[in-house]
Amino acid sequence: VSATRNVPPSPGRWLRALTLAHAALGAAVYRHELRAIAAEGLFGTVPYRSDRAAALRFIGSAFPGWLVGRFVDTAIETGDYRSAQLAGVLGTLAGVGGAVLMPHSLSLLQVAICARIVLVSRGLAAEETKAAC
Amino acid sequence: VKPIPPSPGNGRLLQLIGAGHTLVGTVVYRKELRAIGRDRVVAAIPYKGPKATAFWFMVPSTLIWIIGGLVNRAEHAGDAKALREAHGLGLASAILAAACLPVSGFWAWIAISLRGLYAARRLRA
Repeated sequence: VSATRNVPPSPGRWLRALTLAHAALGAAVYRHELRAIAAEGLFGTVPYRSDRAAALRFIGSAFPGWLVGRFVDTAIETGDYRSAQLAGVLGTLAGVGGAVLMPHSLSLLQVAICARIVLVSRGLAAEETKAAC
Repeated sequence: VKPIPPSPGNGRLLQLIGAGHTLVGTVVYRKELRAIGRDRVVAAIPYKGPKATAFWFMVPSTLIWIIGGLVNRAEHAGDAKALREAHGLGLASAILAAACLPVSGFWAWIAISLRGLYAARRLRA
């Protein structure tokens, strides 16, 4: 990693903040379902077709979201802009899909953050290519 | 010395799980997905109800696919710290989810996370 590389604050941290907000929103929206799951002792308390399943999946998707943010940070720090860019593009597409299906959600923020990941990683890659020339 | 990633790589296995998850969701929630299509897609999903359950089942597939790609990158770069974090968090969330929903694919995620933690430990050693 070049010592002169000008690395801006990674947008991966914004993605991680978004997953915390997502988990908090899930805890509020699905509080009754989460309380029922806890009251029944967790084990085998979630059927496939139920609001409890929606609650579990909603909150559960915060974990992989957090990891994506973490890995994007590492990829940018270590100069692997291609991986960060790919993650950003896929995240943007998934966010657009989510925003269309569910406009009253945090998906638009996901689109903004993931688009920023793409722009930052693209800019850094171009900077590195220019420096190498 | 260039680290040798495990074969098959845990990142690739996670991507396989992401693809399998989508396939299972398409079969299990086909009626709900058809209903979303009939409702013209835009704003078709409320926070609660069968369509929301189907939607939130499908969402992690993309995320798992992306994580698989990034884990693959970390395996090839020998980034033991990132692998430890990814598989540690993956293991914790998969154990919790498997307890709530025992008949599910979370067990495969647990197995991959354990394998990944072992590989990360060997990288560090």
